[in-house]
Amino acid sequence: MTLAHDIRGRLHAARLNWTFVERALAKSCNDPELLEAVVASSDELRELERLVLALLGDPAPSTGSQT
Amino acid sequence: MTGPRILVVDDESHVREGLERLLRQSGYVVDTATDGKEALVVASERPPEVVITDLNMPVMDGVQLCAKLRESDRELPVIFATGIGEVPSAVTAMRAGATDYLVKPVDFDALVVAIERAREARKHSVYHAARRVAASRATVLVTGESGTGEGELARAIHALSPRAVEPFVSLHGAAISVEARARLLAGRWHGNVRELEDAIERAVVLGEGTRIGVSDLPTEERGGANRTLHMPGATLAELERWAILTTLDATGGSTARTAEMLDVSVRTIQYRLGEYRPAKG
Repeated sequence: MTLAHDIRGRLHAARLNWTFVERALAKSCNDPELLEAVVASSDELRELERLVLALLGDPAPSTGSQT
Repeated sequence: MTGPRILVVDDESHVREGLERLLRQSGYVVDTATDGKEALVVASERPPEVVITDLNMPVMDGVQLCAKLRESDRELPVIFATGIGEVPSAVTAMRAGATDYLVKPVDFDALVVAIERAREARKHSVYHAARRVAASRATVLVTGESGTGEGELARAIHALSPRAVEPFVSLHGAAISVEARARLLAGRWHGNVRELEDAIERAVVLGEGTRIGVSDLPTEERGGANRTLHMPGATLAELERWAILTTLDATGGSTARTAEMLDVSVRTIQYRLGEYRPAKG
């Protein structure tokens, strides 16, 4: 188990749970400021993912099927 | 819940639960397991349409799990989520028979695309098999949970077969006794096979439309309204009695015409009617 593997695992869990929050709020929340903050956080999380993975020298995360 | 059933296998609780919530939010029915061994138990109790598994897990890893699952269902789609973004993990996954693999952190939309593509491929595979068996005279048993399209598949097999010019008849299982069904499916009916076949044929011939169900049986033979929920099925003798009496009634009491319609001898009809008469006390 490498550090890169462990970091990927944490990022994976964070992204899945944050995606759930983002979608749930998009359906039910009527507060535009809150939604704006959620979208901004999503963007920052993705950027953080990209930077961390670049730092580790790993390939980019999956945005499409690999096969 | 009638959405496609997905089994998520991951030893990381935040990954497992996060994926479970997202998939449910998207309309899937989700089961989870913390390792391969637990996944095998869950899969046997509630067969999934697609399995999403981590590669590295304690007790039984994704590769071993995939191999075990394929022993009972060689077409089952298994998607790997690999934590190591390196070529070796992808090769390991594909060699293990992975339908697809995604590198963590996985984009959920990409995962849904992979799931739906795997389901579509499986559907094509099933219809390919249906096309092959349709040409033969072999008996085909289609199993599956309610709502998974087993009826649709049966119709497809019929439509692709040389028997397509004949009507497709749906026989509700509850119209045949549990014992008779079990013996028929197991292929070990030790009784009179002809009798069983005749009873089924008569039920089909006498049913309204192309579907035979409990409602086609006479009220007195249904055993009350609640029996719809708990009915183990009419016995063979009950079904035959119902067939004979219904036909006799429809033919105005003609035993000859009844025998002709049911394709049995007049003597058989007379013998059975003798049995149905109450004994004189």
